[in-house]
Amino acid sequence: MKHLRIALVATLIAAPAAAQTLQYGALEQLFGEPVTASATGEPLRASEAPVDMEIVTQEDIRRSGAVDIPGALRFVTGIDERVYGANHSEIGVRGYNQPFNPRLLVLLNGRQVYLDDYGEVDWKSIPVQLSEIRQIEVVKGPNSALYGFNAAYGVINIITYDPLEDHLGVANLTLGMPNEIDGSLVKILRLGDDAGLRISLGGQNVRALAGTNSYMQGLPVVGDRNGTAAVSGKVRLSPRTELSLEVSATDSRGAYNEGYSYSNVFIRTNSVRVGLSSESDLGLMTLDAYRNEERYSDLPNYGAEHGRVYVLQGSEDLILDPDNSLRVHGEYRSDQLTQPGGGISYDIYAGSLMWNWRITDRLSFVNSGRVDYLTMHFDGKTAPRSGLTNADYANRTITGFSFNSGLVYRATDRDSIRLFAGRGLQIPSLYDLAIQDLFPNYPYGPYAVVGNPHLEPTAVLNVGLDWDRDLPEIASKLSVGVFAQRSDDLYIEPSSAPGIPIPTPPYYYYYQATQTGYGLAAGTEITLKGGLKSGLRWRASYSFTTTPDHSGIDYGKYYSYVDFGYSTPRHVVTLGIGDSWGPWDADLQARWQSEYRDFVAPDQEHLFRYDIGAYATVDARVAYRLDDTSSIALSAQQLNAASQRETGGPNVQRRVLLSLTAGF
Amino acid sequence: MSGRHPGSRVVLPLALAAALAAGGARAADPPSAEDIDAISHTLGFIDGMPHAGTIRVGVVYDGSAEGGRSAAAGVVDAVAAAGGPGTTRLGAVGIAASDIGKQTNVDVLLLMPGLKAFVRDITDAAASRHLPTVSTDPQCIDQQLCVLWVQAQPRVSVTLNTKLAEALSVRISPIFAMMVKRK
Repeated sequence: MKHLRIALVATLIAAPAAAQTLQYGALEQLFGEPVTASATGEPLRASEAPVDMEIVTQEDIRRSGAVDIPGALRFVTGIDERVYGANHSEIGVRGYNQPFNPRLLVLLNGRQVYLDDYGEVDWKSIPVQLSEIRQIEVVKGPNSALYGFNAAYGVINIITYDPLEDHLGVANLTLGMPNEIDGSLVKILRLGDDAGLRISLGGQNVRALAGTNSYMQGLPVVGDRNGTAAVSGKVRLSPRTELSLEVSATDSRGAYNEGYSYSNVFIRTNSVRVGLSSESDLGLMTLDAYRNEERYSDLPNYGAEHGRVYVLQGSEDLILDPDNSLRVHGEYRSDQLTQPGGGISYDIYAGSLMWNWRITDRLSFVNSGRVDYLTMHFDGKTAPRSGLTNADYANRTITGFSFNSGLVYRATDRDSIRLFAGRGLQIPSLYDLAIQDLFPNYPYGPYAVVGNPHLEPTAVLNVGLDWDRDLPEIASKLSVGVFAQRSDDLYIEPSSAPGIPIPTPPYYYYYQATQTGYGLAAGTEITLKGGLKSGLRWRASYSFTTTPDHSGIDYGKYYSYVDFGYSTPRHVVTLGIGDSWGPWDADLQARWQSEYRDFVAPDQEHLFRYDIGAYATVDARVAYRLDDTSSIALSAQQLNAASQRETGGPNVQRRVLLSLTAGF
Repeated sequence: MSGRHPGSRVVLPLALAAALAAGGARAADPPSAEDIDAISHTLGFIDGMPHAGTIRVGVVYDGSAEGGRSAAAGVVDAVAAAGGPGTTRLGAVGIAASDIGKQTNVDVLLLMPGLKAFVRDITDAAASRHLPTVSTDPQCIDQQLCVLWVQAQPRVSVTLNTKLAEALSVRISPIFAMMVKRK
């Protein structure tokens, strides 16, 4: 009987000429709130998403005065930002932030920009300008049932304006003290009624933050600068089919905290993506294929390490009957890393199923499950006498199951309650699994970094309960949430693990990623956000996170640069207030966090725990609107302190920025 | 700076106030300004709506009910003053339910409350021209009168009558259908 009902709905829901893909703007105008597909893959109103999610809108970004994405995320409840340098910031969700944090999956319009060969996010290598971002969707907690490996602790999906739906033309020039210049240009061009092109260019040149020299251990500072370019086009092939094509390139260089030391890092990336969305007799079908390429080096030759990712994925959304919808998804992924020791890669085959059951008008229950199967390949030479053979790497397979379940109850017209649980998997990076990096001429003695093919993925189990209440009396919304999380099979990177000595000549040490115990996290997050039509707006939040450490790591023995028990500030408070009158906008945002533990490397041989005391930052922005699309803005980041210790890296300096934005 | 230009959302509050006063004896209120704004946005997800120019809205009322015509006139004015989805505009005309078979020059029917007695007339007219029917009357879904029931307050809520949509051969965006209640 069910196939008859599918056919019935399929005849009903043929799309109008312009509705093949998610029309964020039109749906947001209708529902009076952002919409998202980042929770389950199915389009949902943000208030009905069965996950813990916060959405940063374009208005939030603009009024923050931020010049990069981490800066725009700084005031999101539960987000932990660390500024290690002008070009190097790290974002963590739900604990365990660190240099080159591997625990956050970041996507640009659904395309992975997380670099899973090394397991990191280089925020400056994301080919997007702040002015073309419609919203940044922050999912806190695992969402591997939708995104697979690496969506274990959280997901950030950056959504841009659509070349077929939106109109946009923005040029921005920002001059900053000390010694900063940023520029960007974004334009959507309409090519008739059925085609559109979004062109995006941007660049930034920043003097290295004060103090960096001493962290470079004698290396010359190359200076922090980056540039990105992207073109994204969409064509409506028929009233029911859209084709999209996207290419991008980035170039980023600067002083990066690589965990064990600061280095000049050079990263170039490019990507090509093709997408197709179409209605079929069964529902809405999407196909997506892309290729990411990355070249990473400590020297400006861009040849040392070369990563590629190939992804082919397809999905079908079905409305079975008025109460049930289904999403079927299949994915193939190939991750490849070429480095001086040879080539290493893995293929992943994955399938997932999402079922959304609307039990009543006020109660829905969403379940997703996914299976990933990974098979590894190795085309290199194992480090001598490591005890590992090519077969150890080439025969490795990993099968992982992940799920997400969420119960959303609209208790009253003002209250909604979400209960959710999820299991996510963080796969070790290619580097951690299979690298063979030999350093025979290292001045302190020869050593090797040897991948550990026996590593298991970290499994993260998360449960949470959220309550949202609209408070029309004060034009606000209150969100209160609690969560608990357990991470099994934690592991630490090779540079954190103790060296393993080879006892016979020629002597050397080798370093290997090592599995440790488990970690716990629990906390609460409270956010109050509101505003009046007059322009007055406010925001306040408090988050408490505790991360009991059961990793079994002896931090006195290991040079681990993540301390699972103390790397997360327990208390974070944010306050924001703003107003608009006439052509003027003014916003002030403050953030305070309690102490946490980071690490500092005084030389290439030592790494010491370094306790960062509680600190506050105050950001401010004043803007004068010249017309609907153009403005002059003066903003300050860390207005309250000229120089402040926020990480184990160099002090963070106050930045004062003058920004001219022109619409065209 | 931002995306889509939504067009004017100005409504005529005085006309609406008159409509509300005239319709005070009804079981359900006529569409408010917020309702009309929400209805306007839903039209962009219905197949066959014009993507440029004017979307013509027929405001259907019970001509035999006291105050029915004047209430509809207020809604006609309010609809005409509201912007349509995307770059479109809205135009509106009042239609007495008893005359609905004679009216051919509309793209969508906006049903005033209290039209239970005209179910057959309205659905026949809508089916013959594949016209979507939209209402803010909470009874309209159960009465098999409206394809879309729209409510703007206290939060926007849209219910899609899948059976009636099929019967009228009205096609709705699948993404939109996934995001609304379905009956």
